[in-house]
Amino acid sequence: MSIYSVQPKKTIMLIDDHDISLFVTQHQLIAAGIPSDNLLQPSGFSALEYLEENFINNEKLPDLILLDINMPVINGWQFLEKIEAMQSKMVKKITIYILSSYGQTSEFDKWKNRGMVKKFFEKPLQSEDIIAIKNFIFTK
Amino acid sequence: MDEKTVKKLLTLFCESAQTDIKNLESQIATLEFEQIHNVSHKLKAGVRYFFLDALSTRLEQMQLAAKNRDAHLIQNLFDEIKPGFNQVISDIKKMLS
Repeated sequence: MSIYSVQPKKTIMLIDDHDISLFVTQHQLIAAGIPSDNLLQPSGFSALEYLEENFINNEKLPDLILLDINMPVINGWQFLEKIEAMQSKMVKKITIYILSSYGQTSEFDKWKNRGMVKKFFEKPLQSEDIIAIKNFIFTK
Repeated sequence: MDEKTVKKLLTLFCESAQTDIKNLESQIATLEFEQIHNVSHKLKAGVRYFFLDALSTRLEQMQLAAKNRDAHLIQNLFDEIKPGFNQVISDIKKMLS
């Protein structure tokens, strides 16, 4: 039996304040066969509000977050701090991948060691990055 | 991406870039270094999707100049960046029309 389900079992939230990045990433995922009803959040702040409102709602919480780092008000690292504090209250453990214009930094290593972040991708997503996302979304 | 999506992306890029260049110009006039850094970063992210390497390089230099609070270099770079963007936007609009 294949480990890949036909329909995606998991959902994605994209968090990015950059409208073009959000547009391109969304359409890259659609082109790769990942559903278009991904949750789009234009800021860390709005994403946190959504997660706080839905932390006991298994269906509304995403399984995977693609997180930008350089955002105003709450940047990606600050978002991770907030999520780490909320994680125990949430009905679902959320996997986080960073999607950033900056190269990988020591800050990423810190959050990876804390178990909060699994992967780092540099914008724009490359084909191997999309394969990794598909592997996550389509496996049971 | 299909043609309709590409056109939508190009339109989005033009609108976004025009606003950001305008903001950047006023931030340079008032030497808001942090904002100059942030807007340059945002513009750089956009141009990279279209392989506009020369503009990307200038914007990266602008980010560094803002970090170093080098007003003179910032202005020199902007004097190259603004016409560069104007040309790209003009070309895109011609393509879309």
